[in-house]
Amino acid sequence: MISFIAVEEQGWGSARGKGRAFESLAPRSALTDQSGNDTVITFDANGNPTISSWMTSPVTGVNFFVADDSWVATTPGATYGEYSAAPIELSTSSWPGSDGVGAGGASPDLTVTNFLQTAPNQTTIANVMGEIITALPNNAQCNNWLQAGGQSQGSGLQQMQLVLGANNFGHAVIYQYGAVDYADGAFSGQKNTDGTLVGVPTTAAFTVNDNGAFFNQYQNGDTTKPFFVGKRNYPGGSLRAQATMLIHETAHQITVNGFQHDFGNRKAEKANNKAVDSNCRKLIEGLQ
Amino acid sequence: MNKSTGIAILLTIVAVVFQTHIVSQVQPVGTINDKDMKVVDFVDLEYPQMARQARIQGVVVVWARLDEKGNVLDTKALSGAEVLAAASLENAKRWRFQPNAARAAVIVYNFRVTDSESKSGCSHFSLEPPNFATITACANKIQ
Repeated sequence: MISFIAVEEQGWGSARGKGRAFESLAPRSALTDQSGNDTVITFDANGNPTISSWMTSPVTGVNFFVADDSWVATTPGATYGEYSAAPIELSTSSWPGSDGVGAGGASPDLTVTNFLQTAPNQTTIANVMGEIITALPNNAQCNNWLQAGGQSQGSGLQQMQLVLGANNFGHAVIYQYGAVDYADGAFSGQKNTDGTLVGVPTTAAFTVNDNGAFFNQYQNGDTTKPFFVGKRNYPGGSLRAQATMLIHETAHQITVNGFQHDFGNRKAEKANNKAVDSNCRKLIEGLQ
Repeated sequence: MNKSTGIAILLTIVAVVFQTHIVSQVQPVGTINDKDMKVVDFVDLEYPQMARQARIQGVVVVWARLDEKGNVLDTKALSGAEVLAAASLENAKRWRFQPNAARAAVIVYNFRVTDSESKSGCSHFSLEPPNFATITACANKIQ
């Protein structure tokens, strides 16, 4: 997944997490009164909140973090205590999921409509793939980095040749939680994290968003909301932006070592964008 | 030797060479009847990872030359995508058939990418006698 934001999200998103029992909700010290009590919010297994007052002494300056069903309190003196709690099932709770910052964020559902393999968009994608395929053998750094890791096989070059040769890609209107999605420029795969199908053909290795940064300079034509892509903030719709996106998706498909699963995870996505830039910037900026 | 005799000999040599060339290029000849082909042993084939990543599907037809005991001596892909054929050829070498007069067998590998995930995981193999193998791969999670 490679996504782009025209306006930075503030705080927790309004959308709910779905399908995971353990979400990264972090109860934290909100207030310490004169008696040294910390006000914290705890959650039951259904996600219902309870405001509690906890004695911080002898633990002072407490911050609470949650990892699965354990809470850990840390202090500046490096002491810590562990607390247990039942896991929260966010999919049925009234609480919102996280905004995807950090590992373990909510995993939003995507759906697509109007999956097509027609010109001019299909031709544009194919042309960019062709340019990358031509350039890769002449760029050792990018080519050496874009190799399969883990249980995957082959190289990015082979992957792109196979996908292009079989025409196993397309473009579509993407929705997130039922609303038109502008932020996600493209994605690889066919099913959501919870197993529900996105709605692309089983043969689609990746899908490009008709309304995203691959084809558009602005979000929904709004010139106050320009798309920027990758670490170098390439303008949406530019060849550099397009190449960045396709290399990013190819790295997902072949599971390049260190390339993270970043759907719904902005931190991982940022790290992935940095990896693409570090290894393939010369190739991307060398395309004509 | 007159001119016409020389030409005739030359044409004969050309014909023999040409025929030999054709025969060596097209090893599988004749028809192998299904009733003469019985699988004694086979090995499951995992969906080739590269093909799964690229969502390549299709049919690979493999011809196998057998020894007198029905062991596969060598294999040849008669049709199919290269990324699927390589794994099919290697897999076919591990099959065993009842010996037959033709000393040959054909295996049809049917590769399909699907939406579903089988109980046994993301790659599923099934054999429909006498020689029709289906290999399915599940959908990939989006990322």
